[in-house]
Amino acid sequence: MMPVNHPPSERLLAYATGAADVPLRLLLETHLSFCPACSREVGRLTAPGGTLLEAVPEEPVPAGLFERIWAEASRHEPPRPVEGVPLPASVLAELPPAEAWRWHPVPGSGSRTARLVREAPGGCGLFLVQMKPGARFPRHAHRGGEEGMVLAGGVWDRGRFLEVGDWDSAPAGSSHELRADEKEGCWALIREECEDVKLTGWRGVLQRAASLLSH
Amino acid sequence: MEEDGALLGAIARGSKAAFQSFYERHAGRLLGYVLRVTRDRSLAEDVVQEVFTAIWQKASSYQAEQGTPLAWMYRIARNKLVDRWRRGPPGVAWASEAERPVLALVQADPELSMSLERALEGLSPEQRQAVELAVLGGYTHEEAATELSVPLGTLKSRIRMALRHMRALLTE
Repeated sequence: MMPVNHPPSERLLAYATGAADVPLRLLLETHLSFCPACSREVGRLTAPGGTLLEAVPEEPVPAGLFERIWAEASRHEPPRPVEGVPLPASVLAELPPAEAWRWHPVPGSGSRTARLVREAPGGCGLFLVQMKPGARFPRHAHRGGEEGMVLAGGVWDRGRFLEVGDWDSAPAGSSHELRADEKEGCWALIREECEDVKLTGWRGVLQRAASLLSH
Repeated sequence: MEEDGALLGAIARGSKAAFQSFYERHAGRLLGYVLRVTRDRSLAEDVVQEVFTAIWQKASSYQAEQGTPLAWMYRIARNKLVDRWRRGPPGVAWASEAERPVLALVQADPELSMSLERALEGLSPEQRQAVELAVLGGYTHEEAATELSVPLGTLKSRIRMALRHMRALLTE
């Protein structure tokens, strides 16, 4: 199934030109692994880079460099797929191993989140979100923007049903809630600016209390 | 190119022989590119090592739709370089403009990329500046827009137009 909702073209441009930060780069690479149309656009935008590399005069390679590289590469086996979470190898290779992901339940919602990448304290981060079938991710507000995509299952967001590979975004200052597909639930990969998602209601009180305790 | 794609497929299946063949075909040009950008042989060899390690790990993710294997390798190398620059000490400016890779490219020896030079020369001065800073230079779009004193949207529009123009020239 092809994704119906795609990242804005300026995001593909940022990816193709190296301007995307690491969380955005990984999020886009994941979308590309589902989306031939966006892959072709990235291919068009990065063609000059391949031509550049082809045209650069070769430099003599020092003896022993391959052995050095092989010694290093063979210590980094290609990452093992994570069951139920279809992240491409190019993304898994940049993440800590799945055993090290620290999951945080969202109180009373049937959802949990794990931060996979953090750019800098207070900077943007990349999160994995799992929602059980029919789970509601409660209403929350974003100080910074949010972008994300569905990895498996499906989710309702602001009247739209998003399926595997579909891209979604919520601008800074907005708030929304999510509801997972009744049968399959949902896995989603999310980039948050500011890492600042504020839950509302009693969950927000718990969130603030937990934040105070952790300082 | 087809051979490179086949080698990447074999690397994805764990073939060391394919990995070595891919290395032997491209390590020299990759080192040439990274050396021009970093101007530091030891650093360049480290980056080449990182790039090939990434190729070993990520080969199964290569998709022909995303461009040629060389374009894919270029993207990995460029990202490794950008990540190194971004990981630099916060608040410390570049020691000199000469450390910007765009100048490394501008000052590169005349053998470098006749086709790329031709493509760059075909751009308007504004498009060329945008490409040099934001595509080849490792600047973020925001940095490049500030550097050129243009709105961010204008910069992105120039980059997009320039890349279309370059692609058309390079595939003529």
